[in-house]
Amino acid sequence: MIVQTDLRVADLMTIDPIVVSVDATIEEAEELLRSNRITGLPVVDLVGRLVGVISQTDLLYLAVPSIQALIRHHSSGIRVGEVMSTPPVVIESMATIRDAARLMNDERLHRLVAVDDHGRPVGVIAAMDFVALAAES
Amino acid sequence: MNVRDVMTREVISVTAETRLRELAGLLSKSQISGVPVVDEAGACIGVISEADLLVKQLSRPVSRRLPLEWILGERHDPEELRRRAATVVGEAMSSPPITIEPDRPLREAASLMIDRRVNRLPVIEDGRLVGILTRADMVEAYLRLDDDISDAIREKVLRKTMWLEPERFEIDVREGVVRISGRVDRRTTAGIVERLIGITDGVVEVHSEIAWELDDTLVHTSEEEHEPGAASVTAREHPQALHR
Repeated sequence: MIVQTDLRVADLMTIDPIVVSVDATIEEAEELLRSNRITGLPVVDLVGRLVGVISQTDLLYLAVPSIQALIRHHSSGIRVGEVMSTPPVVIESMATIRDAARLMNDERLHRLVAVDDHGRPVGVIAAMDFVALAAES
Repeated sequence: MNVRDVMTREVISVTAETRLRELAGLLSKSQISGVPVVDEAGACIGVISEADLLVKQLSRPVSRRLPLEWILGERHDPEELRRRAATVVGEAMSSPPITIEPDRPLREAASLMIDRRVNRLPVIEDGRLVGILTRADMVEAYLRLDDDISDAIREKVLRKTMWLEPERFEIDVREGVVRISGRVDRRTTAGIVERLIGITDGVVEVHSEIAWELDDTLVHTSEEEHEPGAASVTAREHPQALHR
């Protein structure tokens, strides 16, 4: 197997990732996930700073019967900010992908978000990127 | 590396009759995002994941929303409508499953996941479910690569081939780049070790700082060779890397 040397997160990540606003409804988030065929999204606040990540797993949590009862009492719909995973797990774009793999493995996560100096998401590195890497090797 | 080396062996599975509510609880509790569906004989008949559940769940007011979507011209294949009405796994799962055999190379499994846009592959041997290969397993495989290289250098190169004690060397492997330091008797030995590491599977580069006591590549006429201090200085000035 060929191993590539010194690959950085920036080399592998999806740049300018699709993001969702913290006050979007969960239906909007779900639609974004579905139409883009992805399993998670960075969540940003009103000025575009990363505040969390929302994934299918977070949405599925809402399917647990006790939570569903709660949903029915909600008149205006649930917002992304209420169900997202926070704080988000971030990684430096210049970290090696090995560091990213280690972090993903330790935290049992399928994606890490790279942010700029202002805390805005600039990329997402996902477990699927490692699948793609293995496919190319 | 093959699928067998990396797959998760303890597979949580469900049957076609498992209720979707129960499944949601199971996924949540087990912290997994999908499971294979098996029949009584242990054969894998489908896969069900969070994505399949999300097609139908949440507070989505199906009856209210559907007509609007029809008017707006959104397409709904009968398959999706069927899944939205599902209450048990058999009605909502993706079937037939996209599977892989344990002796296939990891590369092939990875390509299959990408091409078929799936996040997991049930591993099938002789018609039976023997494991599952997930995205997380692939991340782990990436990490394991360096550990495997390091083990191969210690055991196969140093101990078994060169009869050297691996404990006497410092070995660091990062993304296929090997850094090794230590001390051997002869300069030729250091050279052989470097070359053997260079041809070890997965190694892309070797940075060797193996020092030697005796430079056996020189004709033995001068006295400096027998000074270990001088020899180790020479060793550190030895060309740093062997590129393949």
